[in-house]
Amino acid sequence: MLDNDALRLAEFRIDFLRAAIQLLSKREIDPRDLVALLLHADGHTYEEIATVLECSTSTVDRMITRCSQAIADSALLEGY
Amino acid sequence: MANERVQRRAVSPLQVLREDAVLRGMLDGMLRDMLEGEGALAERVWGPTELTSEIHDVLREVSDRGIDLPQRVDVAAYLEGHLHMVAVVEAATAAAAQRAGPNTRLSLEVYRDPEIDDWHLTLYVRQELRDESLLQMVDEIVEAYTGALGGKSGRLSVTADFRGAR
Repeated sequence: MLDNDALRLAEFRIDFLRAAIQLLSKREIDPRDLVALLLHADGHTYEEIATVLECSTSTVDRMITRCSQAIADSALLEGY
Repeated sequence: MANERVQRRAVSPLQVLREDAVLRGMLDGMLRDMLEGEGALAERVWGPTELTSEIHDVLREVSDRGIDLPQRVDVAAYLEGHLHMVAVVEAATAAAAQRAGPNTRLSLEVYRDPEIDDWHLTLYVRQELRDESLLQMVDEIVEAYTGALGGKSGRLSVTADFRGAR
């Protein structure tokens, strides 16, 4: 049986995913922004991400900042 | 409201994703599905899949046969959406390369109809000096791959391009 912490974590994940899907469907973020954020969270450097996405490191920085702020504004991250 | 905003930003999405591998995996899966049609990007992010490897193999074969691929990315994207066309391309280009003489240039391209939402593969057969056997060659190429089509979706045309070899 799931305890309260597990339930809260599941709800939080759903909230995070819902925020990402809504932002993508409203085109407030681009899938590439989210790819950049994920790769960075996975430990990849800006240089590595810039190579994968074929853009500059300053663009990678903008993508990650834009995506991160948009999700922070949409999801209830304090529950994490 | 201000407090709520401050609280919301207390944990950044980046930090959350760093700590939660399960959530990272969920987003990763969602993005893979979303970017499946963008083969080149998906391959750079996630590495070659069985599907993209198969397409790359056939495109390499096409190039090895001396056939031009001026729209390689578009042809790969078409094949990703019509995977069974890989066998058709293989049969058509093998037959074409076998029949093309030194006077003939072959080019596999994507034709997009500017008026309706339609795109399909076209194998252009171009000759500097038009050979009388050109149309017969086109017929033979079509015959060679028709069996591989098997009534499935996807289309490949073979066209004699009378503008000559480019």
